[in-house]
Amino acid sequence: MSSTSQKHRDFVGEPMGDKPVTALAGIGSTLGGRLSEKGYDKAYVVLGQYLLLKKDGDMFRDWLNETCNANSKQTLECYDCLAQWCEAFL
Amino acid sequence: MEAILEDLHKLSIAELRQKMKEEGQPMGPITSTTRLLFEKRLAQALYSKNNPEHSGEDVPDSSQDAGSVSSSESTVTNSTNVTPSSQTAVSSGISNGSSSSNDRGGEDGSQAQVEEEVEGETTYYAVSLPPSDISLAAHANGLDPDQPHVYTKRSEALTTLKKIKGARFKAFKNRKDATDFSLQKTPPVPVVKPEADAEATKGERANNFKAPKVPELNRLRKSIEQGDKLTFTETVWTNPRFLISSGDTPVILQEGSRWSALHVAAKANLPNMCDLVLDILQDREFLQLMYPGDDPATEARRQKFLVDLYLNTPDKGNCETPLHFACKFGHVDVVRALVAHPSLDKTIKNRYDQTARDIICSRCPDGPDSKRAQQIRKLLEESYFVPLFRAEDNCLQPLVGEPWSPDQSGSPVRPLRHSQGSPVAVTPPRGAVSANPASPTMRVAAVAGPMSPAEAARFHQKWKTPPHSPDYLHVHNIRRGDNDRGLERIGRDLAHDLHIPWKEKWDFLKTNLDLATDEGLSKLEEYFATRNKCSEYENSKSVPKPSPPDICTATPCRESKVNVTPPECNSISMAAYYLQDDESDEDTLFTPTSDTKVTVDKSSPREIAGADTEEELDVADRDAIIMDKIKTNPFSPLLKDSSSSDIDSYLSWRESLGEATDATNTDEPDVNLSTFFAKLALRSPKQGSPSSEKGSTKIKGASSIDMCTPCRKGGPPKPFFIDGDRPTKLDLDVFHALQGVAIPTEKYPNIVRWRCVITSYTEQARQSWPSPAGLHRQRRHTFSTRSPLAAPSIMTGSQPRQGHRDTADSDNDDLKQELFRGEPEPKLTDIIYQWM
Repeated sequence: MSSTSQKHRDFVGEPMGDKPVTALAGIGSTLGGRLSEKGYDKAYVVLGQYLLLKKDGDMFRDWLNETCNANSKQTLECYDCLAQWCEAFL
Repeated sequence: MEAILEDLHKLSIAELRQKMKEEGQPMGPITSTTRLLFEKRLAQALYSKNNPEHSGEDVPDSSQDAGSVSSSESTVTNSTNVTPSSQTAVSSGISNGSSSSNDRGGEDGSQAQVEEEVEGETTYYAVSLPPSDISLAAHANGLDPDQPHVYTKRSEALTTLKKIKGARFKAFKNRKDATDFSLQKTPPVPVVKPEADAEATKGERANNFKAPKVPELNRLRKSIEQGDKLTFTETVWTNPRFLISSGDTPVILQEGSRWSALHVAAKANLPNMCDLVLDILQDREFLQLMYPGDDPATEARRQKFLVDLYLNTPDKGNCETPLHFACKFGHVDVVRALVAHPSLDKTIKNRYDQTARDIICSRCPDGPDSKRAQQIRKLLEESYFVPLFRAEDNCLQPLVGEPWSPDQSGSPVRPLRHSQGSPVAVTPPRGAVSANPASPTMRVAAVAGPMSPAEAARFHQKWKTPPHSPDYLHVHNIRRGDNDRGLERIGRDLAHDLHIPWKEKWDFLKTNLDLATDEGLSKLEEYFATRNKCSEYENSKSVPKPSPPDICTATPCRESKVNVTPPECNSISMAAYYLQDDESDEDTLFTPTSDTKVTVDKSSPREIAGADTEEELDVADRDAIIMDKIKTNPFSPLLKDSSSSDIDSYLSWRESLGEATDATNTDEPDVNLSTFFAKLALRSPKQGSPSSEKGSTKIKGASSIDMCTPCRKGGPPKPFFIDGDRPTKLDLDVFHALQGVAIPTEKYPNIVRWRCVITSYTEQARQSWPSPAGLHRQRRHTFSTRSPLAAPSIMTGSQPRQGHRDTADSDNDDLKQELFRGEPEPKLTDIIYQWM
């Protein structure tokens, strides 16, 4: 992770609060729409899933791919962002 | 219910979701773990919808289906039950192992107590009491120091231990050892420790506040986020440790990212909350509450330290300060509140090496190029002020100071910090500082700012040397013609045009402010109200209360944020408009009546234009009054001397005004002047008779008040002016300051009345008003001989107008008085302190 996106920084830098799922890095409006369609409308719901999968990167990325058809770059970004957030705040 | 549930069970996830949406149920992700719960809730909703009358009866049903759920889940719970038990088995095994190793390793047995139950042996806990005086305490607690204190339960031993200070306890394998230990008196506890405690308590005078718990802190954070000032203030004042941690650091309100109260407030866009937090931190009482025994120096240091930490501590997430937050999210007002604080460090960088300036509006929807971002950028720039210096007695030319900033360290200006946190400067104007006590003191008479350095430079330039434009002559004339307040007038207009906060000194109000703001207007209104009361009390005794000449003390204007009411683009404004109207009335409705009283039926200033025909205005009489006034005026010789130049300047001024605004009738001044002179010629023989000033002023008063009957009905109409019962230059100054300001009648009745009075005078009459200082001198009749120290010829050599010689003279008197009293020169610092 030599460079991170602005979105990543913004997410990782502060408490999650009530941020929408689109605040996650790698989750744009399309994926965000699909996720909230399935009930994952807030970032913390996705975090819950991530924790349910015991913070396992591969499983989480698989899950994200299956749930909203995200590509590997997107899933990686989302995973990084959640993993780093957990490091800081959990 | 059962049926519904079964139906739902058969649905696919998508169908179930669809159904839930239709029912308006709150939706979460449907997974294997959550599906059952969602189904249940949906079923319940559907059931109560289908038979609403039984909605209360679904208790047995729900219990039933809860049973079914539990039965369906029972397998799961069973399976999960297996793992914990096995885990405990494993853990106990581990602990057994560890304990045995402990037993093997150490003989002291202290660890053995841990595994008391596991070992299956009885462990004896012996408590040994300290000797002598402390054992008295044991008596008090109902313990016998001569009895052995041996317990088989650790908790009992601990309770005993807690009762007596200095007691010890130890675990033993057999009872005898334990009894021996208990009876053996412990050597006196090392003396050092309690002393250190005492010292600590002495030094800190430990307050009794408990450190707040996490849920309490969370509650406080919520109250900040909701802007609940009341709760916040209450919480914080009942326990200062909500804001000050044990190490004199900010209390962390948001654990993960380590946000202080200021972080939270800045993030939530609550400028008032930021102010509140900082105010409380700067409250001496607050620190007293926390540290009752502090001496003032320690306290000040502590306070500074604390405020600095609050303002400049980065958070844990991105290492950002509250200022970063405010900039990032585009919270202009929060930035303003923070920037107003001198200990704020604007150069702190965040994790990504960005200062607050670099990330302005990066997170707000407007984007970094919006107007909001520019506002913030402006606020972040160093704030500069342009001062105007004036000699206390006005015997030197006023001086426009160089732009000055509190942040600038390299400037010739020495920055100082006010305890309240506002920037204050000691600015010795070049050439004005001298060791000679006889030389006049320069004081700050007005300040424009804060503004950016570029703006300040421009402002300074414009103020000092007005650009060559059609306005030039006008500006020039104001500057030369109005020695008391000319530069202030120019600066004021300039500041209002550029929307820069402006403050000038008004001695009669005893504060520094901009009269054109709401604050200024209310102050003025207040002043008039009190004056009215005074004059009613004195009841036409015409004994004016002379205001002390040097009253620029106390009541510093502490609001640093002044809202500038945008000036009207038309610079001649309402007042000039009325004036114009009046004058046209004079020309058209010259209908002299025998009655000496002036009766004007004007219901409101707005109707003046419309109700022309209804007016009966004895202008002749009014002019006679003015002429009378000029004649009876003790300054008439002076006036005569300078009248021609006066009129010249007046003319040119009116012309320039006309050019500039295209609003005034250009030939009007001529007409006006000609009528003026005609009347002067006409009336001059008449007024030679001793018609007495009294009568004329009465009429004048009647006329002027009648004109403003809408403002106040009933009550004896009385003319009133700012200083005394006669109009002075001060009235004119204030009148100028209020030009172009809309004054709501219902809010400021006295000001409107006063303005009506002033408007009723012609421009010439106004110009002839004496400066208040001159009047004072005349009334006082003191110092009839001139002091050699204050040679008027020298002092007034630079005066552009002869008419103001009187002012200078009286000021010399003041100076002389000061000299004779031997008062030390008032320090510039003190004066400037009042400005912020």
